[in-house]
Amino acid sequence: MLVLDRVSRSFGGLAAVSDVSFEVKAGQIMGLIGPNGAGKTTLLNLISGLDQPTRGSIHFNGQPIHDRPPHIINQLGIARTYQNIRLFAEMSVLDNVIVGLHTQGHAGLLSAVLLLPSYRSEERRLRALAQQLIARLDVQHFEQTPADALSYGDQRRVELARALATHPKLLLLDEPTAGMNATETARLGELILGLRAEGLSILVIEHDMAFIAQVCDEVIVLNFGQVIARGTPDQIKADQVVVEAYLGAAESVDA
Amino acid sequence: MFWQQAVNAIWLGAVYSLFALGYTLVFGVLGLLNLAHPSLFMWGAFFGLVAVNNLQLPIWAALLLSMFATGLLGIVLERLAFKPLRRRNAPHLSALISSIGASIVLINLAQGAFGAQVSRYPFDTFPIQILNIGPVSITLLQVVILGVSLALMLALRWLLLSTRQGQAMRAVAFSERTAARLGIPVDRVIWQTFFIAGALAGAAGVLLGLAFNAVSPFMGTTMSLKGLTVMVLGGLGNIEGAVLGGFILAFSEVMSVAYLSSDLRDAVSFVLLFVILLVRPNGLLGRSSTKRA
Amino acid sequence: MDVLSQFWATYGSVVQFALINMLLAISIYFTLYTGLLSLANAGFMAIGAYVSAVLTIHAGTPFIVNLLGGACVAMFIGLLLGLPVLRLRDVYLAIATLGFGEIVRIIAINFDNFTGATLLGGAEGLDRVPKLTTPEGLIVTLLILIVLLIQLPRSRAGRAMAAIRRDENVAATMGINVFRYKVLAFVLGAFVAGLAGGFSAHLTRFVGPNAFGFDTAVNILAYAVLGGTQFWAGPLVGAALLTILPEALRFLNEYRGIVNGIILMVAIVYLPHGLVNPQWFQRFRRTEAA
Repeated sequence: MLVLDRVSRSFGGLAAVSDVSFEVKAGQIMGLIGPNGAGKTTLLNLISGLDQPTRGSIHFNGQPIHDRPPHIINQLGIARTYQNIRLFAEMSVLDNVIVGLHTQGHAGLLSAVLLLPSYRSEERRLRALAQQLIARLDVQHFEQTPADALSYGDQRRVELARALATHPKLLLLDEPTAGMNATETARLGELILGLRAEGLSILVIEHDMAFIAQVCDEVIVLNFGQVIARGTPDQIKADQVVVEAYLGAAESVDA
Repeated sequence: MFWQQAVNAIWLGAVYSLFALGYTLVFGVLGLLNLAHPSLFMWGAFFGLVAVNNLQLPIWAALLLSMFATGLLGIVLERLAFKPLRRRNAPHLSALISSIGASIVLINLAQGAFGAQVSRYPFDTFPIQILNIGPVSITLLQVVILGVSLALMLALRWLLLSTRQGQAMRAVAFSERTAARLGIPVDRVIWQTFFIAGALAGAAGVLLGLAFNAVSPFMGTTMSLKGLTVMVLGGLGNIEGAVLGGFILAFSEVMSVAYLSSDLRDAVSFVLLFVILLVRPNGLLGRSSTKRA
Repeated sequence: MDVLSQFWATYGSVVQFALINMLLAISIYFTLYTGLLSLANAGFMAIGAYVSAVLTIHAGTPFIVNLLGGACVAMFIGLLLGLPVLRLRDVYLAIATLGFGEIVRIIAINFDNFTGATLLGGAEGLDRVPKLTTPEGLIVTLLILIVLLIQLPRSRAGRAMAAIRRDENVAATMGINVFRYKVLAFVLGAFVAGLAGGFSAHLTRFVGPNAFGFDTAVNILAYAVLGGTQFWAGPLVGAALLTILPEALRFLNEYRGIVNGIILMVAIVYLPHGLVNPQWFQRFRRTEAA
């Protein structure tokens, strides 16, 4: 479904991502791990269209997306969350998610001003959809709360709800369990597996190895912008190269 | 004819560059556009005029006094208009608006203090002497203006590249947070930057006021868009770019007046501005691409 | 009744100026709501003023046609300007729009010379424009726009604009065509500013190139900043205050300009969300319930 072919991204002389190739098949949950600075978020930026590769190509369902703008890529079916949580501050949780439903509606500004029935029914429908998503992510108590007033873990769930609102086929998650305790992490893992059961494919960046083992079918390991290993979670956990990469970066791995 | 125009463009370009240097310095170090900079320039011109008319100082002393006074004014501006915003991490838009407000205050203060008319230097301020070098002629004043501008530009370059002060400024320009972690007194560097920018603006004001023998509270407004054009031409925040841009603008203006029409002189800076914004917004010496994420 | 007509005789024009300034504040509200700093609206106001005045004087068509015609031309030029300029980063956009205002001024001054026509009146401008602006017309226009303003945050387009303002990259990854909505906001602002220009020309009976320069552009920005851009009433309050206050402070004479500048600085530093702050409403509602 998602095919990266020798993707590279350099900034001046520095190669953030170098010759990365892999594939995420439909219905697969792929993990992306590596020490900090390995290029994982850059890769997500390249896939989602916020950045362009200097070399190589990215295809989604057969269509090239490496040269397309982010809103088209989302309309083709790719949604994402962010490492640093980028919710729309001061907007309520409900509003954040309703913005995510932008592509699911089509009422124009004029119909809103004239309060046409088509506008009113669409607003009701979108609102109900948003509330469903919020309930599914278990943040319904905070529906009217400004998004930046929530706890870290709750904010991550709101961001996930917002991403799901765009009705994606592929979900890119950037460290979704950061700031969550063990129970919340396990619950998120269940949710992710549930989403896969509904037909979603997922590419997730994570540092939490237990979470990776819980949800991922396959894992890609990145270091210094290059793929250094790939395989099932068990395989890469035992891989010497991977262990050294993490030790070498003096990075503590949650296991 | 051409060489005469070229000579005119050179000393005018030097002043434009001097004006834009302080402007672009603040943008480089703080990331903000201080739209009150042209008003500092105007006040510098008035400081010089007052020094000559009322304090009977020789012109070189007036220049130094004006630079110092305008530098201080720059610090006051920073403390009142920018520091409170920085303290609460306000978006850059707020700083821009605040600088607009400050500019309005400065212009109206000047109007109140000096009247709205054009003021002039007394005749004996600077010896009138014309030098003829081959087919071109240039006045002593214009030579001195060129010399002083170049000297100040070189002094700024030396400051930025060869002193600890300059190093600190460049560190803050790169990243305020990193500079703070390195122990650099960011707040102090910032008001020092404003002092330098103000001093340069003041010098430009005195020199331009002398060159055209016209000082008015509105001289900053006419220079405002030219300053923006020069900065954008060279790349916002880029010191060498400001110098390059200054000469390009002066050259274009002088040539268009000579060969096209003098009505179009003001239009030249807009045309240049729009062309560069559409073709290469980062400026001639800026980065050629903009990262999106 | 006598008191009312007395009031109107003295303050009628101030009220109408306040209404026109409210239109201008609304015009910049659209762009600020979408996170754009555009200082072009004085230029669009000029276009609306000139076009509508020329139509009234030379074409003899009814006022409303001329008014809308001026606004449409302003909107069209807004589209032409916006397409290249809205791709620029914030500070570059501000600079480009500042430049636009000046270009309009220079064209207005030199148009007649260059084309040999006697249309725009050159540096002296056009006077003896018939006084066709009525307070009723202004109020009706404002009411229509207020409906638009209220519905904006409740509409799909308005939500997209609010998202763009807060984080345009994230908005893009949610399927929002950021550029298209920026153009929409810009063009809406141009239309409303053009309307304001048409009304203004037919109130003061004069259109000149120097009425729409940097000062006007800054004033428009001040209306929105002072009033606040979080809530639709903000720009209206800001415009009303900044129109009426100088009149009330007329005794200050030459210090009026300084006061305007100080108000702008104080407002932006101490009232970051402007005067009309929705958070105050929430606090009020909570104390009521308690």
